[in-house]
Amino acid sequence: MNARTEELARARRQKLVDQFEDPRTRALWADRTARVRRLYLAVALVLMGTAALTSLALSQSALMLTGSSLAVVVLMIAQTGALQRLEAGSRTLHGYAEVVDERQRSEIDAARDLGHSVTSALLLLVVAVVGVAQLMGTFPLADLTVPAGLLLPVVWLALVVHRSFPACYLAWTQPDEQPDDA
Amino acid sequence: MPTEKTDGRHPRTGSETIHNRIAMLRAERGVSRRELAAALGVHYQTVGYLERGEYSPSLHLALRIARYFEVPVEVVFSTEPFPRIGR
Repeated sequence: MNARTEELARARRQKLVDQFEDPRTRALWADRTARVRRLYLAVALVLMGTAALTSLALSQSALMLTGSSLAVVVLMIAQTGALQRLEAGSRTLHGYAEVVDERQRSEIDAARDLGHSVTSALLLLVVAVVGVAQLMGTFPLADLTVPAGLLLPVVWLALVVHRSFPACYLAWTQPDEQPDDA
Repeated sequence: MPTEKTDGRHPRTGSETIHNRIAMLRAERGVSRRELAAALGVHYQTVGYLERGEYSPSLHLALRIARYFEVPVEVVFSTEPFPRIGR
């Protein structure tokens, strides 16, 4: 590793530490009750964003297209902000392993392991639902088809769950942070 | 060498619980959590987790803690509860 690469790596680590240990970020994370309220808000924004995306994907008129597009943009920005706050507070942003200590790493790794299992189950469910819908749609006596546009919100939701599960899980399970009283 | 997979956070139950005297040693030497954490290269919250027995440290961290207090590792950590001092 040359000096330039080392310098870049150090700068990246410092940026992550600054994000994780920022007093505002820590203040938002420290109290579990307030943190869980923000988690509920993030989940609500994700669900509303997915609903808006579904509406956009299935829109049939110019009015619906415009309204859905606006809703998607606003909700995606709000959702990204809420989730990034949670990811910074839980120290799960990309590259965390280089700047957290062994306890924090073990907690984050456990949350990520669980997140992978949840995402796998979710994707398996999607495959099963799509398979059953396809079977029913192609059955001679049935006429049930699933619009291809539904794929967009479903894949989007799976992606968001995959990305944000560790932060949301830690936000839910971590106790209040203890003050440095001694 | 096979290693046991654990999140390290929750204290092990029964015979696998690791007891420690970090809080006592730290108080005795007048060291704050932040000072100890900085010397060990961990977050100060982690020192709290260790003191409360909510996290079992790696062997590497345990040895560093013992070295910091300049005592053998078995003075800081034990598989048996430490005897209480006084009543």
